Amino acid sequence: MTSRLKPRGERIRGIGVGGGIAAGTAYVLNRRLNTIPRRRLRADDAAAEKSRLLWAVEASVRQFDEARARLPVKDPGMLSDIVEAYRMMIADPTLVNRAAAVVERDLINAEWAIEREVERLKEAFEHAEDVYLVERRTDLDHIAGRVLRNLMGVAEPPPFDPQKPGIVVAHNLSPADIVGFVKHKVIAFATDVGGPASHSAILARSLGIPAVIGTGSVSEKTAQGEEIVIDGTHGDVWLHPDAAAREKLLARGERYRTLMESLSGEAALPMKTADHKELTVMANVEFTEEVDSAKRHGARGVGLLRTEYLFVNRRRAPAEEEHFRAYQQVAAKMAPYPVTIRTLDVGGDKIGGPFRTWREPNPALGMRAIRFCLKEKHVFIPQIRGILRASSHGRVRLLVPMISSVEEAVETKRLVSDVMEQFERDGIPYDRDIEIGCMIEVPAAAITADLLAKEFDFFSIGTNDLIQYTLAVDRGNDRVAHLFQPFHPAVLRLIKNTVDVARHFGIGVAVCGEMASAPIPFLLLLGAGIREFSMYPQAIPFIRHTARCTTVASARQLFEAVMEARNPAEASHIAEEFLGQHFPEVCQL
Amino acid sequence: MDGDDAPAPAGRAKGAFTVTNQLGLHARAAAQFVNIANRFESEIMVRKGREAANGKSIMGVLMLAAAAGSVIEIEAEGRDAGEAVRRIGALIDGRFGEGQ
Repeated sequence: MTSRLKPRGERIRGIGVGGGIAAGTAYVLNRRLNTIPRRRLRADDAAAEKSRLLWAVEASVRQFDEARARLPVKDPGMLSDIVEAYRMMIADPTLVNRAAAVVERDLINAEWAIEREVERLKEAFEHAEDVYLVERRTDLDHIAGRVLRNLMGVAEPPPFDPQKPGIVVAHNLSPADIVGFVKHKVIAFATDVGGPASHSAILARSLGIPAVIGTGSVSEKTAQGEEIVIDGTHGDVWLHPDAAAREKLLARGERYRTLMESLSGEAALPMKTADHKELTVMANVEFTEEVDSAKRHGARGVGLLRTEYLFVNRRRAPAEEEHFRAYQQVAAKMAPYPVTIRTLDVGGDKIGGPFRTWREPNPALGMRAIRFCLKEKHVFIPQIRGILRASSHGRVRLLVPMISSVEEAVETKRLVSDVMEQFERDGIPYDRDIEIGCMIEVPAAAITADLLAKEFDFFSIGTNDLIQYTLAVDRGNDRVAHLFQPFHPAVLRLIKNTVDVARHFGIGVAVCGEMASAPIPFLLLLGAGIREFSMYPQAIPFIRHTARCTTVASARQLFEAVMEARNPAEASHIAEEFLGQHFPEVCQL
Repeated sequence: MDGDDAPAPAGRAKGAFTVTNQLGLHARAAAQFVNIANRFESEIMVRKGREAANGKSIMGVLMLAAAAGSVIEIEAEGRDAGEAVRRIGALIDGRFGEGQ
C-alpha cells in the first residue's frame, strides 16, 4: 500500500499552480524565434509584401478574438482583458502602417519591417518617464511574436493529434500563447521559469488547468510527443511514468477535483486542525486587485505584501504619496485583518533608473533589500512614511527583508522611530503600536534568532531564500536546481530554531514562502510549531483541507521523525511513509 | 448618458485628471480608455506634459507612459466633446475598475 505515493517515472519538481492532475502528450514549444528572415525586395514586389503583412495582422487579430471567445467565463486572472488589449495593440494602425511604410520605402520583407518597427516603439517607451518599461516592452514582443508566427508559418503546428489532449511544455509562456492553447486541446502545461505571480501562473488559473511552473529544466528534459503527467497539486511533472503510475496519479486527480468542488463554500470558516487548533492563514499579495481573490479564498490578512513593483524600472524612486496610496488601499480592504508590508526586497540593479549602471557580480549576495535601503535612505524613508501613514487606515505590520545582523535591525528601527517622531510633531496620524518584524531568510538570522527576537515583534520565515542561502543553491541554475531541497536537515534545523526562539520570547512567527502552500511541507511546518501561514490565495482551500485532516500532535510526530533523517531523500521517504499511515486522506490527493 | 441634457453644440472640451490606479495606464487600462474614446465622434487628444497622443489609438495612449500619480489632459473636439471628456474622466477617476 505504501507504494501508492511513489509512482514510477522521473519526477521534476516545480511550483504547482492550478491544482489537479492531467496526463497527455507533451508538446514542447519552441517559442524562440531567433532567426527572423531578412530579405531585400524588388520594387515591384513591395505591394505583394504589404498585403502579406496585412494578412498576417488580420490573422493575428482574428486569432486573439477566437481565443478570447473560448476563455472560460470565470476568469480570475483577467486574462481576457489582457488578450483584448493585445488584440487592440495589433489592430492599432500605428504599428501596421509604420511597418507597411517601411516595406515600401526600404524594400524589405514584412518580418524584418515588423521587427524594426517594434524595436522603434520599444525605444519610445524607453524615453518615457516612470513606467513599467519591462512589462510594456514584453507586451510588444508578445504581439510582434504573434504576427511573426503567422508570417513565418510557424503558427502552432501540433506534433500531436489535435483531437487528443496535449500538454504544453515550454521555457516560458505569455498571455499571447493563449492562441495556441485554445486552438488545440491543451489540458495542462509546464514551464522552466516563473513564480506564483507570473503570467504563466495567471494563464493556468484563468484557464483552470493544472500547471507546474519554475521547474528549471522541464523543457529540456521532455521529449517531443512523449506521454507525461502534470501534478499541479504537488508541483510535480512526471516523465515517462509507467501505466500503473499514470493510473494512480489520475485517480488522485479525480479525487482532487471532487474535493475542490466540495470546498468552494468554505472560505468563511476558520482554518482548524482535526483537534480544533485554530491556525491563521493569510495571503501573499502583490497587487491591490488580488486582495478580493485573497478574501474570497478565505485569507485572514495579508502575510506578505510585495512592494517591488512600485520601484522597478522607473526614472525616480516612488514618492511617499504613492506608497501611501498603494498600502492604504490594501489595508482598508483587508481590515480588520492585518496587512504585512515588506519593504523593498531587491537591489539597485533591479530598480534601474538612477541605479541603472549598477553592476552586481552576484546579486543574491549583493547590495539588495535592507542593505540597499539603509544605504539609499532617500529611497527608503518615503516607503517607511507611506507604510506608517497607511497604518492609520487598517491593521498594518512592517516587515524588513534580508536582515542578517542586529546592527541592521537597530538602524532600521531608528529610522522608523525618527519618522514616528516627525509624525508626532506634525500631527500625522499613524498606529503607535505598529508591529515591526523581520524576514528570517539568511542563515545568520535564523542562527541568531535569539538576538533578533529582542529587536522585533515577529518573524516571518521566507523559505525560498532561506533554502537558497543555507544550501548555497541557485534554483534558477539548471545544474544545481536539484539541490534545492526544502527537506534538507540544515533547513529544518534552522526553521526549528527560529520557531523555538520565537516561542521563548513570546513573539509571532509565520511562514510566507512556497513551503507553506504544498501539503507535505505544510504539515512539517505545522509540526515544527508554525501556526501562521501565508501563501498565494488559490492554495488556501486545499491547505485548509489538509489542516483539517491532521492533528497538531501527529504533525509534531511527523516533524520529529523527519528531523532524524540524514538527508533530504530520507526525509522525503519518512514523510511520505508517515503520511501514508496517519493521513491517508492527504496522500490520496 | 444624461438624457435631460440639451444636445451640446459642436465644440471643444478639456479636462485634467490624475491617474490613481496602481499600475497607471498599462495595457488593460489603456484598452478600456481607447474603447470608450472610440464610442465618440469627437477627435480626442491626450496629453501628458509635452507628449501628446491620439486618444483613440491604444499604442498612442500606451506611449504616454502615464504611471500612477501622473496628470493627463484630455481634449476633445466635436459634437459630443463634453460627454467624451466626462466619460473618460470618470473611467480614470474610477481607477479603471481596479480596486476600490
